[in-house]
Parts: sequence; C-alpha cells; structure tokens
Amino acid sequence: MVIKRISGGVVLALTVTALAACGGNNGNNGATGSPTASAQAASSQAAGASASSAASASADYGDTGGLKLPLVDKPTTINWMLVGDSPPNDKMIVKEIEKRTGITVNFQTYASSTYQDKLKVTVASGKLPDIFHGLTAAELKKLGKQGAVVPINDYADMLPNFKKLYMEENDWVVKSYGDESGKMYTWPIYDMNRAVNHGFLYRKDIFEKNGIPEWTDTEGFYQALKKLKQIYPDSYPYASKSTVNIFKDFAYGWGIGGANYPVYYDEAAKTWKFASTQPESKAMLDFMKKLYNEKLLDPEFITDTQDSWTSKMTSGKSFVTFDWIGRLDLFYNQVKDANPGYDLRYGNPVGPTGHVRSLPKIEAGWSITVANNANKEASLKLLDYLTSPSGAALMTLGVEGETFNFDANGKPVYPELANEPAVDIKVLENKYGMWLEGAYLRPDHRSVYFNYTEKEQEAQDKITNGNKFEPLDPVLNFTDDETATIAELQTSLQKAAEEFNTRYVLDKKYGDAEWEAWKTNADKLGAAKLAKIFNDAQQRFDSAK
Amino acid sequence: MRTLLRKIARDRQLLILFIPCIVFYALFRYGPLYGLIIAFKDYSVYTGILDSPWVGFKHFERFFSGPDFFLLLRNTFLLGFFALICSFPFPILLAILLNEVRVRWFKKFVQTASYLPTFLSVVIISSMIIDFLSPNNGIVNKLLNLMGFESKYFLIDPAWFRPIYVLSDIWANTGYEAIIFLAAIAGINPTLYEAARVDGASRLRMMWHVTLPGLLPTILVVFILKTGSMFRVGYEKVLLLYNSMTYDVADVFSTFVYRKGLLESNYSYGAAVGLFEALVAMVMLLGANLISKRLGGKGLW
Repeated sequence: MVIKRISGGVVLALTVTALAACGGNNGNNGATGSPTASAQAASSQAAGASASSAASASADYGDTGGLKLPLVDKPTTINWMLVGDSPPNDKMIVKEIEKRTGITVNFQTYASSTYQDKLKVTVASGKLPDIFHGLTAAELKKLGKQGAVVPINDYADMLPNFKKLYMEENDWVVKSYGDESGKMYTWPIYDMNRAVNHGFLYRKDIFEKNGIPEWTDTEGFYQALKKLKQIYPDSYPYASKSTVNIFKDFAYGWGIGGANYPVYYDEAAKTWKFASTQPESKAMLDFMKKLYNEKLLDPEFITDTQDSWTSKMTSGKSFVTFDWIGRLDLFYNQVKDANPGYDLRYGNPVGPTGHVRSLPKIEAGWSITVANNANKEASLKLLDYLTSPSGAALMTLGVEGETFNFDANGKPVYPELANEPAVDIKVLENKYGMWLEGAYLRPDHRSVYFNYTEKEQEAQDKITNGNKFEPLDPVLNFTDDETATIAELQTSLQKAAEEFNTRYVLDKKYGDAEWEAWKTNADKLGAAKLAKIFNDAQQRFDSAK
Repeated sequence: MRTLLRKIARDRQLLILFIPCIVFYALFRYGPLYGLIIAFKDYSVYTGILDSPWVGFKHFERFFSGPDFFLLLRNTFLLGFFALICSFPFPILLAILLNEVRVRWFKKFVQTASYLPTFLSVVIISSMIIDFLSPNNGIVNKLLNLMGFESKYFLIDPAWFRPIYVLSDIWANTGYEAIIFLAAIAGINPTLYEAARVDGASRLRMMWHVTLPGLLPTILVVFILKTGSMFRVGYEKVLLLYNSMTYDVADVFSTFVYRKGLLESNYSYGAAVGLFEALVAMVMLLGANLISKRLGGKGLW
C-alpha cells in the first residue's frame, strides 16, 4: 500500500512536470520568460508609480545595513514559494517591497499540509522558484552541488547584512551549515526565538492554597508533588502529553539534553556522547521511576494524548506538567469561566543542573534558498534587505505611521486592527502579509510576537536572570556518508532507548542488572559508532578555520 | 485474424464502453507499478526514476540482514494471522443469526448498529480504544473495578497488544463484512427451507444443513481473499496504538516502510520492503487458492 503511494506520487510528479513544461511559458511570462511582456508590464506600472517612486527613492527606510535602495535598476519579478494560508500578493507587504526595492514579489503560498508535496514535485520538475524553503539540509546540499541553488557566501560582497551577521560576527555559521567545500546554500533566520519557550508549568493557585512553596531544586520538586498527592489522593500531580519525548524534555535538567538527543555534547569533557547510556541518564530514570512508583507521575504518561492531558490539567486531576509557555494563557482561557482562579505559571527547572533548553540565535533549519537562475542577484539582494534592521521592521512590524504607531509604552498599535480581540502574528499575516513563514529573516523584537503577557514575562525573567540555560551544542557538518549512517543508527538506537527508558520507569522489576544489559545492547546497536561520527565531525569543525 | 476483426466489429459498443475502464487501470493501477523499479535503484528525486543508478538487490540484502527483519516478519505474520483466524467467523455468525431474526425492526437496528463503526476513521477508533482502556477512568477498567479487580494498563502490556488489535478489528468490521454473507443467504432457494421444514427439520438443523452449505462458496472466496491480505497489516492502527512499551510486538512491515520510506526519505529502501511484503502476500493468495481447489475443487480462478 505504501509502495503504491510512493510510486503513485512519483508518477504524479512526472505528470505534473510534463504539464509544467507545457504551461511553463505562460506561467513565467511575468518573470523571465519573455522580456517584452515583462517590460510592458513594468512600463505600465512605472507610469502609475513614477511620481511617487521618485520621491520615495530618497525616503529614509531606516538602517539597511549599507544596502542601496532600490535594489534593481530594471523592474524585476521574483517568484517566492512558501508556506501560507492565502496569497498575500495584493497586500501591503508586496506593495511596500516593490516600492522600496523595485522588485515585485510573486508569493506562491501553499498550506503547510500540502507544502512538502508541492515542494517535492516542484523540485523534481527542475523548475525552481527563485526563492523557496523546506528541504532538509542534506537535500539542499545535494541540490547545491548540482548547481541548482546559489552558494550564497560566494556573493557576500554584494550582501552586506549576510556578510556582517553570518561571516564576520558569527564566523561559525558557514562552517556549520555549509558543505564540505565551504559553500553555504541556506539563508539563516536571525534572532527569531524568544529566550524561553518551554519548561515546567505548575498550578500556582493550588500551590498557594495549600501552602506549598514553588520548588527551587529537584528535591523540592519531589516534595511538592508528594504533598499534592497527600492532599489530593485521587490525583496524579505530574501529567505529561509528550509521550516518549518526556525523556528528551527532562534530559536538559540532567545535563544530557540537546538538539541531537540522544546524542549530546559534553561541554566539560569536550566530547559527544550517547546520552541514554550515561550515568546521568540512569539518575534521571531513577528519579522518574520514584515519581511513578509513588503515583506522583501519571501512569498514562506514555499514551496520553493532547486531549486527555488537557482535561487532566484543567480539571484538577494534575497540577504540574512540561510544555510550551503559550499554554499558560491557553489553559486559563479555556477554564476561566468555570474557574477564574486558575493560575498556571512557569516553574523552575528540575534536575541537578537546573537548566532548561536554550534556543539558537541563528537558525538555518528552514533551508531558505535561492535558485541559480537569471534572477539570483536580485533574489539574494532582496533576502539581504529583509535581513537588515529596516527589512526586519517591514516584515514583522509594518510601516510606521501607515500600518502602525508606537504607543506611549513603545508597543506597536495597529489602527486598522482596532476591532480585533488580540493582534497576533497570524492577524498581521492575514491583513498585511507580514510574518509569512519563510519570508521573515530577522524578526524585529518590537513586534507583537515579543509582547509578553505577564506570565510569559515572568518566565523569561526567571530563566534569563538566573541564566539557567543549558549551553547550545555545536552545529556539526556531516558528509553524505555520515548523514546516511546517522539516519540508520539514530533511528534504531532512539527506538531502543525509548523502549528501555519506558520499561525502566514503569516496570518494578527493572533495576541495575537491566541497566547494565541495556548498556551492552546499546553498544551492539552502534551507540559508540554514532558518537564517533559526531566526534569526527567535531574534530573537522575544530580544525577548520 | 478475420474472425477477431469480426468479433470486434460485432462487440464494438461493448468495447467502447470498456475503454474508460482500461484507461483507468492502465493509468492508475499498472502505470504506477513502474515506479517499483526504484527498489532496485538508488533513487534520488533530482535525477528521477530512470536516471537513478541501478544497485541490484542492495536494498533487499540490507533489509534481510538487518536486525529488524525477523522481528518484523514474526510480528506481521502473527498480527495478520490472529486478525484473520479470530475475526473471520464473526461476520458469518452474525449473518446467520440475523437471518433467523423474524422481528424486522430489531434486525434492521442490529444491522445498522453493527456496521456503524466501519464508517469511523481509524484515528477515531484508536482514540476510542485508548479512552476505553485508560487505567484512570476508562470504561473497561471501571467495570473491572466494579467486579473487584485491580485496574490494568492494557496499552503498555505487550501481551495485550495483539488481543486489543484483533478485538477492535472484530468490533469495527464485523457488521460491514456480514453484508456480503447476508446477500448470499438471500440467494439461497427458499424451497430448500420448505423442503427441510416438511421433513421436520428444526431451525438449528436448517441452519446447519441449508444455510451453511449455501454460504460455503462465498465463505471460501472471502477466505482466500483475506488470506491474500493477511500479510498486509495496515499501518495506521498500529502506528496509533503502539508505544515504546509495545514496539517489540507491534512493529510490522508497513510501519517500518512508513518510517524508513516516508519519514526518513529512504524511498528505495522503503519500496524494497514494500515489494517484499507484496510478494509474500501474493504467494499466500496463490497458496490459499491452490489449497482451496485441492480441497473443494473451488477457487478464485
């Protein structure tokens, strides 16, 4: 059945390719297909816009990082494929980009559910949009080696913002995300994340009502859960919805977490290790086992769904969990009518290190890339502009005085959206085309996305002030062979580790003997080999300049 | 040659009517089969199916020598086998019993109620199962508690995975599959029943000597078809019901293909495993057909 789907998809891809080839001329007329057509279109546009563009060319658009506007000397249309709910081509963002840069962007949006399919078909057809995102790092490098997409750092001289952020200030970026010959095909996103996004959440109202202090360490966490169980014997104080990912979430507190879990970088030993066989992992599992045995941990933690977990967390069956901080208000809004006192708050980290996951400042995982065609220079310059502070403000904040004004507190206010119950990034996307996934390259931190609610602010302060961040692991660059081996080993090792971890926690008979057996088994499955690949790559990384 | 042309000319209207059918099968059933050659290639989406390099049986060798092979083989076989053997008699039984019900509204009600679950998606059925079996407040455990038993966490017990899978299969499909047997019963000549009644047969006797023999050809055909699909355990329900405690008994070929082929983009490897699965299914189908012919002289072909 699956085979049928795969091959069906492939045939579909071929059919679509054939169709695209037939219809290609029509589709591309506006872009590069026919110079006369686009020239005509441009001249008619220019007629309307000439008066204003002369005036605005000199207008001040803020800090462009040294890039000169407009970016092109002749009208250019760029096709940009990305995830989105509706085409933003008649919205503010497109007009404003055109006004400032001279580039008309034709956004081709696809819903996130179908995007990957469309992308695979498009890539397979060989007719790449000028800018697109969504491939895996390995796929993108392969495409780059075939010459289909542009090695961005080769053009650094015309891209002042790229050069500054990713080559001068953060010189590791090309080493981490480039290919073996140091060519980088992906355009990273700068400073996108809030500092704190996930962590332990607890019912502050319940804690206060019963005189239980918020925990500050692992023992305090255990004592708090224990007291809750005494007071509410029918409850399971700690609930989880992340099934086997619970081990990954907890791992940061025991110093063995990381983006590549179950492989992590031991900062002290300067070595990559397989996390699930380290003594820290055993300590973590012993702790979880204790919670489980004393009925402090919901026994359904491995099968709970979002729904069952939500009902437990909102109905007083459970009081502590681990999740995204947006849940603080989401849950409150769900139950505030019935229980106005409901107060879910961000708690301190659990585990001996007292650390939570930190989020990278530079993310290249989106694989935003530029096709190697006649429009490449315009596309690259456009991306560079959007990476400048001026472009950042445009894509995530809007145009001051036109779309928004700052209020007395320095928060943006959108007059046209006064009737919306809340202005979030989705609203801005629908109305103006801002915050398009894959098109914002440097979120402006004055944007509504960084308007923390009181509870979120508390979370940010709690972690930032105490600097309770687990250091980020280095981002390594693997060869094709290594990528293939990692894919193979990591899947079976991760599955085996999940299985062992779960058993260790749930099965009363599991103890030291089983732990030793697991270590042997993990080695048989290639744990050492997997760690070695990471260490080899680390060595290459360290010796590269 | 001439007779062939004459036959075509004679049946031209029928043949024209048949064209859409041929086109459909050629395009959507046989056409995609050519994609199967990626099982013998190192397929890359950029080079395409035809230009990808041939690698012979590399993916098959890797699969057969991999650590997962015997586990998958055992799980797939056992899950398919139990699902087939345990669930097969129920639709027949239901059809025969429904046939005996004389109260029309009751018959209609039972029939409708029994095939309703078929229209629920696997996702809904699976979450219903998870809810029913929840150790905290699932209805099954509530009943066990009432009868004085301890709550049991069925979903994390490997020993319970297969029974849950099979029982939920029976629950979901019995009503729907009974329809074909009901139709077959309706086709049995009523005079046979009258004759039996005249001879003084009880209702039980009539079931045994008239209904069942009348159903036998249908039963055989359905059984052969099901044997063919026995090895093709659907991946959706397993994916939704398994968890890290039950990987050992739950991982089957199709979930493996799903993980390897789609999640990890190893299309060639996934295709090779899928092809192997399909070949085994075909051998089973042919085997069942052969056995059936030997035994009763009847088969699909």
